[in-house]
Amino acid sequence: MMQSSPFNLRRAIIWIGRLVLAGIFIYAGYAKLTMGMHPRPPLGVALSFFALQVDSYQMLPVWAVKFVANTLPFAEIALGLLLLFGFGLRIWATLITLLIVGFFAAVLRAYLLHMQINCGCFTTPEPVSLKKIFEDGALAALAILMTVFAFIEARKPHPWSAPEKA
Amino acid sequence: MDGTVAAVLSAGEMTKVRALVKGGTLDAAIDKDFALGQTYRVNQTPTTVFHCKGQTYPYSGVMTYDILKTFLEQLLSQK
Repeated sequence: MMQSSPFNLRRAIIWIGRLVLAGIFIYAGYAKLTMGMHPRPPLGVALSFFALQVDSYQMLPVWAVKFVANTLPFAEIALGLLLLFGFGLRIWATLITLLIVGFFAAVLRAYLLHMQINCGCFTTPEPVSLKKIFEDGALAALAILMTVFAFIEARKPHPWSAPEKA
Repeated sequence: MDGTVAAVLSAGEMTKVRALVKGGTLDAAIDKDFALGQTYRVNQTPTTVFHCKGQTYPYSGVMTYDILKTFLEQLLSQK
């Protein structure tokens, strides 16, 4: 009975994960492109400024920094929308989880190396701190749970589908 | 502090520095810099604040030359 209910705990966590992570990804991508400025700076300025922030982590060669800076904001918006729509949920949930775990690892590394840098996640400059690590860790945990539950739920019949005849 | 600075300055330079510190004339300049840093939300070092065409871009961290050059070129190419 509980398993066939559309409102079990797993499905609730999938929905919460989709709404929270999609909202954060769409906002993060939008914030990188607009930099929270009015009027919005030209796209080239916003992307090259984001490249500076990616470079501040000192993890990637120059070509990779430019690639990440020029693709990540658009990828965040696209993945956020795809996660929200829910079509092909397992694919987008897996990709978002990999990205968030990557962000978490980068922020944790910067913190452990005592790097004096900003996170570069949104428009407001946020120093890499223990608080930021907990925030990213919580998001990574939510993303992992959402993805695992999405795979588990996909193996079960849809809650609103007609019961199989014996 | 005095010993550390004295280790890298000549005796003449150190005398000037001590006179400036005792005179209290540096306090106003430091307060002004501090207030300016708060305006731009500077909370760590190094922080670089870029100004171009009425916009301000504060950035914390070290920079690779190629990436900085690209950013400056983009700033200067704005219409």
